[in-house]
Amino acid sequence: MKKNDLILILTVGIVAVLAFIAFNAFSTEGDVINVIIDGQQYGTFPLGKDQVIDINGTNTLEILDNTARMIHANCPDQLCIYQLPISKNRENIICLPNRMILEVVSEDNPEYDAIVQ
Amino acid sequence: MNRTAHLGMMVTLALIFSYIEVLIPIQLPIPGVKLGLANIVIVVVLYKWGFKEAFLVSTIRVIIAGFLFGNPMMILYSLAGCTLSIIAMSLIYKRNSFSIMGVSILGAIFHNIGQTLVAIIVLESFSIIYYSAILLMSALITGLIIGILAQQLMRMMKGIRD
Repeated sequence: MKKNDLILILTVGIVAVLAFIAFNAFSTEGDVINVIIDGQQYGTFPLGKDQVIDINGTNTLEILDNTARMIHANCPDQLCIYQLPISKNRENIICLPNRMILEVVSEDNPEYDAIVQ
Repeated sequence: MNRTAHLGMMVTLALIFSYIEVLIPIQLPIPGVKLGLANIVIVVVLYKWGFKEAFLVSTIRVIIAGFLFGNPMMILYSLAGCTLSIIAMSLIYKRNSFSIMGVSILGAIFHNIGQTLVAIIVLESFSIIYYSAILLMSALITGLIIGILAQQLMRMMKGIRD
């Protein structure tokens, strides 16, 4: 270990922690799940209503107790199935093989989106 | 001839590491976080041979491992990550200002950056940026572990290209 290694570790560590705080500290519970495929809006589903949604025949989304999770995907890696359920604003589940994003959006917070984008 | 044989051995070793990683049944709930054992070999090849050889071994490893244990999509992500990572590491490893651990951590960070960039292009969305903090943190940890293991492998390979 050299001095520069420690500087690198500390700098990156601080950046990571700050980024984590920035993304999570001000997040509020979201209202709807936005389903985006290939960058195109596929549908919006309220988090408040428990339901199981089939998406394009490739994935299945489950909304239960105000949280959303992927319960089925036809891809081999199944990474999205292992992701924790999402409920907070801007949290997302991504299915890379099917180019699909499930993203929590807060309806009463449009100016937040404008800043991020 | 000696060089070809040694590099062939390195590709094989990297493939074995890829296979061991597939066998580990633990799935983290965070997408994209992996130890990347095969990168031990890539770091060692970079130090012992150089950029060109590391790039070659890494590219062959990614393509073969992709067909054996993964899918074409995975090859695309891995190639972007590996290439960016080797370029970053090769820019600093000769200067002696960082140890092999620092070089490996930088490689891990750029590996994640490369994969994130491909994901942004494929998904046509910046949503994945949400994971950047976790990916940075995981790069620190995995990069350090890979660096330590690479250092050990270098010691065991005394006599090969010294």
